[in-house]
Amino acid sequence: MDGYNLSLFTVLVVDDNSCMRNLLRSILLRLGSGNVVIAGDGGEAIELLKLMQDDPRKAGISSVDFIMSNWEMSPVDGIMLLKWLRRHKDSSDKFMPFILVTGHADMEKVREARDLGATEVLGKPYSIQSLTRILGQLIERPRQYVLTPVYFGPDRRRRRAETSKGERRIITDKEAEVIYDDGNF
Amino acid sequence: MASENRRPTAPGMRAKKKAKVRYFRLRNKLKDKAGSGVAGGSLGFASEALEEAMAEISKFSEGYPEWVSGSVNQLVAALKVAQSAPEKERYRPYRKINEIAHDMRGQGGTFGYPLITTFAKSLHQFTGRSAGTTDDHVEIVKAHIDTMNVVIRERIEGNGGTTGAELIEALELAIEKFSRTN
Repeated sequence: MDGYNLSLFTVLVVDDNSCMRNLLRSILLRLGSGNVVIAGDGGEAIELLKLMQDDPRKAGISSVDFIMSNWEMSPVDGIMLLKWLRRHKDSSDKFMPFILVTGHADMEKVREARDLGATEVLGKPYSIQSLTRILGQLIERPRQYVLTPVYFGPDRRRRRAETSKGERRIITDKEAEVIYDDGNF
Repeated sequence: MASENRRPTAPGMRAKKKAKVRYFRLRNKLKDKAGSGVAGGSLGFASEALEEAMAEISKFSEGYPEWVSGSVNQLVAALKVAQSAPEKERYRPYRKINEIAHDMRGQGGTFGYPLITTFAKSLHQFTGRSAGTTDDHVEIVKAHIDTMNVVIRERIEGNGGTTGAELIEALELAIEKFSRTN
């Protein structure tokens, strides 16, 4: 067995620290990613994604498979980028997997990231083990997306065990509208 | 949201007119592209790829003390500003120190310097929003930066053995000493 083949992947790495950005880019390339594009902050990433939509040739890419973005950046941080991606009318792909990379290790911050629509949260400092575990989750265990009056993003039901008894109401498929991907979202 | 594309499917899954919740079940394009991997999860990566990725971290780690020195220098500069500022005006340099400490906390462990992560985490807490701004508190901040400087200057990797334990103890003593009057 040869392991995952990531040669068709295009990953967008966003970090305002050039060393950390280059490290992540190099790691992803070593893991087999076909293309890793970089942006220096959330604003640069948004510009790149918009350009990709308007003029793929000029952007140098026609699609991005997932984003890995640092949380704390200046001037546009990872949370603002995530909000734009999930909610803005100009967003290139509201369903794009988004890994938020952060030194905020506390559960409250992780929950905040999830509540804003992060697909996964990678804590810093990270190791190859923790990084590949997150990538494995992304590939093997994608979550359905949920749209409610107050939330849009990957289903947060992994949190089920954390909630206190009886507070959570599980909505069944019969009560919700289920929409399947026909490739044209 | 491209609701015009919705495609009701099997009985029991038909669209509800007044549904307040919508589930979008997407085709797993990442899996389509990546294939089955070795054994799923993180083991899905080939061992050669994992080794190469780890080697890449080692390569970057060699240069880490040099480039992180720039961050330590920024900490020292911000500390000087805090030391010379009146108590009420120390929040600005504290904020700078807090930001740098947050960055360093997230880096050290990746590059084989977990002590930097430990000390930066503590420094981040001591310069947070509710941090004290007395001269004694500034001494606590200084003790952190001095300790981190030693780790980088002496290239103390891993837990640092005896030296690492002594540094942790010395910092704890400094925190205790200067906390008494706060």
